[in-house]
Amino acid sequence: MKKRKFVIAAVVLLVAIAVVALLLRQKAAEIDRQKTVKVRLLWLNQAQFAGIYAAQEEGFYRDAGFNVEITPGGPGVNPILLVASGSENFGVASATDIILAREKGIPVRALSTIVAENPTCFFSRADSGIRSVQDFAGKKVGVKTGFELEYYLDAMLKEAGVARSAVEIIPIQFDLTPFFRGDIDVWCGYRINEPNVVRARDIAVNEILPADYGVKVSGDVLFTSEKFFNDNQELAWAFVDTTWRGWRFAEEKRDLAIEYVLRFNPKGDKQHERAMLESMLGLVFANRGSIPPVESAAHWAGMIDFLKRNQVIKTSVPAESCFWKRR
Amino acid sequence: MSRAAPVVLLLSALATWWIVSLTGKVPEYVLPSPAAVGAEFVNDWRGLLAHFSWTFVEALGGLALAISLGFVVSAVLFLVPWLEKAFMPLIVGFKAVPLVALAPLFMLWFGSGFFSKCLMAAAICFFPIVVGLVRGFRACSDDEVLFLRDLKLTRIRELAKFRLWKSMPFFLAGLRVASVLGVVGAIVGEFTGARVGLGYVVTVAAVRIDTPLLFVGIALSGLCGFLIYGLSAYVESAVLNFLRLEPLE
Repeated sequence: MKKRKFVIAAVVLLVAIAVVALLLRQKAAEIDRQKTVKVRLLWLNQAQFAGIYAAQEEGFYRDAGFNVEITPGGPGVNPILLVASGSENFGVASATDIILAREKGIPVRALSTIVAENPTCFFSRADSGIRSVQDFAGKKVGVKTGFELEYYLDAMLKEAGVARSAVEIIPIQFDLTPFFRGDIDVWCGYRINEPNVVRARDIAVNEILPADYGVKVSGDVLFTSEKFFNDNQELAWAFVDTTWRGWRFAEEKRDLAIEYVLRFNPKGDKQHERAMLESMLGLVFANRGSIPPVESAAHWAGMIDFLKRNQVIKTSVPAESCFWKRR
Repeated sequence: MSRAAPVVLLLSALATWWIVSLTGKVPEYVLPSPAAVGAEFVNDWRGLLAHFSWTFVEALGGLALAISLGFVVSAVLFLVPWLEKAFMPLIVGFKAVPLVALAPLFMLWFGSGFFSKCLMAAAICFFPIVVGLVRGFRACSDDEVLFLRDLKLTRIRELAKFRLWKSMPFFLAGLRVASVLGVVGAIVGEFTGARVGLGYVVTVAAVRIDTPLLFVGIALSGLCGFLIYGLSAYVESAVLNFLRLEPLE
């Protein structure tokens, strides 16, 4: 009796192994048929890239014939150089990064602008009375030195007619403790992130937007290298369309989108990611009509002019060399 | 020939670099030509010199702080032997902590100004100085130990009158090592937030993919370390000559 049970169990186990092996083989064959592409994000895994995660987790990329490998960015990781070198196929960077790259002759171009508006902001406690750049005079303004917000601040001060010497600029990092401690009056960061962290502590903030002071520089763009694009044009556009499908999904099914974000960032705080997603969707979808067409030479020329005026780039860059126009 | 060797090596490396960049096989943003790097320096040499001087002073400040603290701590460790047993493993453990991990903490505690960068530099310089001094205080021959016993000095007088001078070659060897590390500490401190200094130059260059400027930043950082090392080597030889002591091998 015992022997019979053992034989049955062994047969069942063998059949199960055979079925699993067959499924795995089919899956491997399917992956072989699909085009494997690597995507490098601009920053660590977070709701900023919810559309990409949704496209991956909902199988949109797979349906479109892609096997996508998503890798986060981080401090010291430059998606532009990784994509330009050919080690990765697509990347998310800021529009400024694309222009800087073009100035240096790096062969990458934007495929699609995900965040058309400027995604950065300066903010103060709502009860501080600091509501505009004019109010920065005599205040301590924290700036992540070396990064774009430093020259955004210069441009904003110029636009508002406030002397740089009238403002005490303090170099800051990502830790908001000095702001909470009251050591810094005005902090800077991304509208999808730092102000939400402060609001989560029930502290109301005034957001002061660079865009209101002439900084019309877009945020996240999807880009690829010239070589990859020239060899895989259709595929590149299909990737763009599928990514946008992911973003539309994230907008419609936000709870699911957050679930997918947390799969990529398991240690992420759900509430914070939710707030980030809401802010991000606002930037991605709201006001899109009121901003000049993002894939237009005029829009890129405006950004190039801004960077040139603020001495971020030394030589002018042809606007058409920064992006691909879809035919 | 031995003196000319580093110069010959440097010139050969420069020539190879130049030739590789002339072939045009490597893009400018990966390997800019020496001419492009030189032009980057010439275009803004005044600004770059200001950044260089700032980092140089921060590193020197950190070194001075580490020396002062190093003498006090080493003396205490010598005078209280059980403290030495307790603290030395901790000091070694502290040395093993990567400085980059400490930098944001230093910024949080001490702000983002000149002093916090000096402290970063001091933190990294401290270890070789303390180790040098602690070893130096104990570097007595058997005869010298017997002689000190005969004198029946208190431990503190023994330290001040004899062991402190005896430890000089060890301290100065540690100082030479620490001098280069001080520049590293200052630059890492600047990476975490500064508006001036070579760390700032390197950050801006990296963010803006300005590879020639990155090369200038790296070269100036090397020069900064080289100058401070030269200065400490000069101090070492001058002090040892004055005290008629032999340098440590």
